Amino acid sequence: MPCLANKISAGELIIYQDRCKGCGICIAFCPRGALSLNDRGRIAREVEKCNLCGICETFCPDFAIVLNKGVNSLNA
Amino acid sequence: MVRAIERTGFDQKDVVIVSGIGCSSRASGYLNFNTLHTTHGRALAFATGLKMARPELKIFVIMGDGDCSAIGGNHFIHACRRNIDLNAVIINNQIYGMTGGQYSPLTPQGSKASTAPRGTLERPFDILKLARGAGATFGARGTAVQPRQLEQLIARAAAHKGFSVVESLSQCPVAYGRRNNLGGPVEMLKSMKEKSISVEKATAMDENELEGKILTGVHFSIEAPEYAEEYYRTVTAEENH
Amino acid sequence: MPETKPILMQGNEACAEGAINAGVRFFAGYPITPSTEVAELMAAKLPDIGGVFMQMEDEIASMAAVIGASIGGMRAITATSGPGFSLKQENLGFAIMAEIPCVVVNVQRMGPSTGVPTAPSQGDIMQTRWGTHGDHPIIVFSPASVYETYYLTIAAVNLSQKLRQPVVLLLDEVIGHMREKVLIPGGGRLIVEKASDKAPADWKPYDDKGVTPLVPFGFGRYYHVTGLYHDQYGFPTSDPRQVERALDRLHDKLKKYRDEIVLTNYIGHREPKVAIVAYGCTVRSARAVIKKAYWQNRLPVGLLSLQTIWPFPDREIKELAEKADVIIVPELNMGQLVGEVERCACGRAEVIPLNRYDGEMITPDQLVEKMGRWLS
Repeated sequence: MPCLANKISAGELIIYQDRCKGCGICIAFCPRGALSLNDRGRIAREVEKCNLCGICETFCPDFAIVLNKGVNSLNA
Repeated sequence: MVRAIERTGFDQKDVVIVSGIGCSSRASGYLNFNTLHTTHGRALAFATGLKMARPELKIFVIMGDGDCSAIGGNHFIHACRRNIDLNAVIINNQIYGMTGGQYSPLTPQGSKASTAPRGTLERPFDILKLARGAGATFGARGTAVQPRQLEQLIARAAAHKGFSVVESLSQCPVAYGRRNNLGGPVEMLKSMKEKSISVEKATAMDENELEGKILTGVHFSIEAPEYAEEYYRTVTAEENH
Repeated sequence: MPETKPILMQGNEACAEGAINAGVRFFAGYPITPSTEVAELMAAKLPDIGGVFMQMEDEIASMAAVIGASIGGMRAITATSGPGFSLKQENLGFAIMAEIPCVVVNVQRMGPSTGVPTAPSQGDIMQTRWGTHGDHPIIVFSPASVYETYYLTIAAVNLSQKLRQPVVLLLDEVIGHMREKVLIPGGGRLIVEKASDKAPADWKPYDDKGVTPLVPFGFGRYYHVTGLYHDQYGFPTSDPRQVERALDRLHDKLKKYRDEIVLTNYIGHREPKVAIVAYGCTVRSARAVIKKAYWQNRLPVGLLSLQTIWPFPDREIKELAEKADVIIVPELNMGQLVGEVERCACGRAEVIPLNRYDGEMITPDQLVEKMGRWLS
């Protein structure tokens, strides 16, 4: 049922560009400051700063960021 | 909500999401369970009938602040009084968002709203005190800025046998934040975080220190007979329904 | 229930008994004269057969609980009177839109408002048709005796399940409170097996092909129930084409089973000059007139009693109007169903209302006096 439009898979963190409305919540609450808005106002991740803690996933109101921990984890 | 249900380990077919009408209550339409999107304010009454017919179901009732405490107030206090095993999750964004920003019984006094251009006169409920006074046996408050804690609180509510209330404070930047110049979603969440304090810590603080604070965590958890179970236990005849 | 021994039974009791024998195992209600006996009897009888009785905080909650229980797989009913029936309208509309089977009993009392709570009336006719908003379909039965109450309750429960269409059972204070000798066949309660999932793999809750029995919640058939217009799985849609098709779907259900739904009864002369069209307790006065005028005096008079008032028995009225010169429509209100009779007679017969709204019943003499002009 969820649409799987152009998701950008950066390592284990999956960002659904079309679901992101650029509210900035994940950026503000990411403990490592690893997230920022790209030129199209969507979320982008700086891989080296990110430690896959998954805080962004829990904060995102639109399920636009999904932390894909292991092989069997649910990738929506 | 979904992550909390995952924590409980309930079987997907036993979980039911009932919701009322409003932004919060659209949630039932996005979840892959048996879902029931009822009429405004009546979710708990629908859920009561469903629970009594199928007591084994794990029923979560998602409501908005107005949905639950204004038009739904009568059903809320009676569901509490019966202590029927339902998990009420009140998404409190302190405004009627869907209809464009009218104030609700949980809107902080003095707030601006489309129906209170000069600020609301009315004092809001403390929904957890109301719930406890009416007989609910589990009450907790969480916020959207502490999602992990909120997950745990909803999971604990689900594990509790009896009427459980989890108030989840959330931000409505479009209707409430804008009119009360509280900034965008990030600012609202940050201020929510600053005002949040755990129930345990709050015990060491006096009245005016607690002014404007959001007390998060479990406020009360009491063991008491659960309505559906008591009903079927006292039904003498053999089961043939 | 004893074998077919005649027993003295109250109308409200016949309603409770009929519901239980039709497999109802859930009642939610709120006290209100003159329907409280239904609730009291359900409170006494349901627990003994594993059923659920709920006294809710108000009639709105009662209607909601009945719908919730029905979604849980229990046949469910509620009973009330005018004021409570007014409160139930929004949720009744929800049950119609979501196609959730349930039966709502309205034991009419003199209205409007608090009115005369212990007086009979037929003033809620149009409310049962249009009480809830929107172009919704509705089925409304109106018994004229304790015996008919028993049978129409069973018909209401079964029809509601079959069409997944809420049915209103419209009594009045006289039918509800009177006691009458009733012959109810034995065989006792319908054995209701536990809710189960007997649907095919490709089951859809709102199948375009037609009404499918509802697989209750809890069987792993994931679907959505909402008052919003919805697709075949119940998920919301506002696409104009689907909306129109969805509303047609609700109405087509009743059109398809029209003859099973529209129940009427005719007694009297085959070619009546003067006919009476009546429903509910007024039928009793009309029957007394027919017994005397036709069976004894062989006058060309007849009585068409309407057990179904909505959908309105248009065909039956049209046929009657082709024979009779005059149709008298006695009602305990200021004239409600008479408009429908006039519409369907469309000039073939003169339609004369006979109205009484002082809280008393229309007497046979009143009818005879009204009919006299055309019979002398």
